[in-house]
Amino acid sequence: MGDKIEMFSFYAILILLASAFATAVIGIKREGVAPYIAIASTFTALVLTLLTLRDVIANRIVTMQIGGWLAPYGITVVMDPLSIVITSIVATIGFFAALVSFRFVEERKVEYYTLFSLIMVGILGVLHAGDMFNLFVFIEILSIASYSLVAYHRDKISIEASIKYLIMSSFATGLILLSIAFIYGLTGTLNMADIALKLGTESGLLPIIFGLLLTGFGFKAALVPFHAWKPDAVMGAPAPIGAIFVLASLAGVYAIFRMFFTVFFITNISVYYLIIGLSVATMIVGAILALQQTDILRLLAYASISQVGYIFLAFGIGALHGFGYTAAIFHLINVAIFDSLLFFCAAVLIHGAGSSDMHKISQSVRFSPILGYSFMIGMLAAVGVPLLNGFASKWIIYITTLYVQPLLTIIALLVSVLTLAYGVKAFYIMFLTNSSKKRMRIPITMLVPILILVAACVFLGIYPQLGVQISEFVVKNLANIFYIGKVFGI
Amino acid sequence: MDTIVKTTARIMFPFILMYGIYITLHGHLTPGGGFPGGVIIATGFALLIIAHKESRVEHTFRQISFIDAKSIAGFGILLLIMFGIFFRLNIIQVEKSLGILGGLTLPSNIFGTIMVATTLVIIVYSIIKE
Amino acid sequence: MLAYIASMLLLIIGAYTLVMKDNLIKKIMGLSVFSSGIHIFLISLGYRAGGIPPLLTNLNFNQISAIMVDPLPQALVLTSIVINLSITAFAMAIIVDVYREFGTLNIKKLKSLRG
Repeated sequence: MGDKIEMFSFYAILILLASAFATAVIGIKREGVAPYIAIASTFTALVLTLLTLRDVIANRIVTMQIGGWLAPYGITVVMDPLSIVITSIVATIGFFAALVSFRFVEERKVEYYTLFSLIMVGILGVLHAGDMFNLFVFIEILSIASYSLVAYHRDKISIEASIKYLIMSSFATGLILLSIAFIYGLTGTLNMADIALKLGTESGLLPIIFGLLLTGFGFKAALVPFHAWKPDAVMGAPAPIGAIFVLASLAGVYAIFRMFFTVFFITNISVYYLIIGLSVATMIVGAILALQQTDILRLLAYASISQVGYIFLAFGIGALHGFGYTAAIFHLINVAIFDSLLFFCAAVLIHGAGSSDMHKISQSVRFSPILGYSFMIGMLAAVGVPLLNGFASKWIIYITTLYVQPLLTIIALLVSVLTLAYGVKAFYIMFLTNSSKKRMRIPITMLVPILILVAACVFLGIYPQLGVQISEFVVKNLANIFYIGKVFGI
Repeated sequence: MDTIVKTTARIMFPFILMYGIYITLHGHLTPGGGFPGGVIIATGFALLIIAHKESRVEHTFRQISFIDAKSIAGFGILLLIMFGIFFRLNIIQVEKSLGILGGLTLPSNIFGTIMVATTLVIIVYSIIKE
Repeated sequence: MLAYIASMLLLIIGAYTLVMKDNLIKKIMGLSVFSSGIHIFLISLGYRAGGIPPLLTNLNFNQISAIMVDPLPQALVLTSIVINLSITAFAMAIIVDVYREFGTLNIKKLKSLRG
């Protein structure tokens, strides 16, 4: 194509990086400016992402070669429908998280907002990456910013969570680097489109490489054997960052999808059985462990682990039998919306009560009914109650697993029942046995994102055709012929 | 620390600094560039911090300016990246036309060195101070 | 060939130290050894027999570019070394805090998070 389309969303990454530096510099003299810089830069990132969304809908794939170096030699930044859908959601929820943090974070604001901007740079960079080197660097930026955010509160829980998360996560990133080394040894290039061209299916190393990548990215996405860091990390970090951790896990899931759809052609079917087995274990372990929690942040962390398991189940079925990708993408969108809604409600609760233990919350402050309804809608969306968005995507998952293996449908239904169990438990303890007399007003900057997300849940529930349309738009363009052609400028 | 260590550190410091700057400035021709040059400069500062009492080093170099220098260098790198993307020049031509001067690589090296050196000095200083 | 054997040995030793030793500082050292193993593996992938360093001088690019050692893994390894340096520095800072809060560096004693 001869026409040059500017990729606006890449400038969003640069603007967020500049805002991280600006917050660090200006924050030395004046501390109060930091939140405004973060809110302004995430809003700008959102606007630029929506501009690129319009471009991608018109032109199907948008690429940009940095510095004028052509494709196999230079750094390529690619936005195809899979990336742009996830990027739009990440940019929106990032903006909401900045708004919620405005009232939540009271002390050491400069540190918080610098790390917040850096973690957004990391997530957006992973979504834009067109070659493995960029992917690796942005995953590292994301990880290092998150290690610092987990240790934010500097008490026993945060420090212990941070050191354990750091050690495990560095090992996982080392495994990703090892698999990049193997890919380089096999093909001689690091550009994703070029790897797709040069990688044959005959090599025996391919399942090993894909297994290493699944381990490394599965760690970031909190799949089951690698999920142990997530509850501790979410407990140690400030509450709005819990929503950002959900987005980071979805970036890990995106990386696995990108590896699978664009780069690799695995013909060894046992890998797909492995994916389905892991996803079933993830759903079950997440739901069962969430039942025993007394701390709202740990409960929500296990809930998000369980929901990512659903996404992987749909992905595994799709890989094995050819349909099911639509359910995976649609459920990914829904998980981002309702899990962030739950974390923002938890942020309001913790802000009012001063602690994240559910029994302490129920005894300290009495909240307005709006918060109760929002939390309930979030939980019911996670369960999959009709008229909310979780129902539509989970229904597609039930139908696809029914065609393939009815045992999986039974397991998915059972996990939904378990989700209902811990959702009702959380709601009951915090809202219905509330024994305090003190009322609290919810700050408006925390209320508006919660209400917008509730409206999104209900809207996608009543009108799921929109969600299915978006997912099909993504799935139709997943074949990597378009990707490779656009990157090489054909 | 011993008098011998203190005196040797003070004598070696300018030579280490000079070596680090040399590696930075020749980064487009010989191995090196921003990162190793920055690490060597930071090693020079770290030697001073460990040999002497850190209060003397702080009094001499005044830590606040390190954070400012790091952020200004970070802005410089961002400016370079945006320059490269906005103009989308074919960088080979730019570099060939500037010949031995190294084109955009030279400011990138210098900013990278300042960033790495200041970061490592701040880290070493904070850990020793505890 | 020897470089690959050495890198595998480093990977094994690093992973063993990272997993089996109890002291936090030994675990960070194991992480460092593991990273060194990966870096040596990556660099030795770019080796050409009888190669020369990839330095560009104005004179003879077209003649010698065929026998230059591959510079791309060198760039990747440089980036990775710097990233691991910053992770090690951050881990050291957190370990200072761990010692101050818990009084011990043994990871089996850090038990305040359960379930």
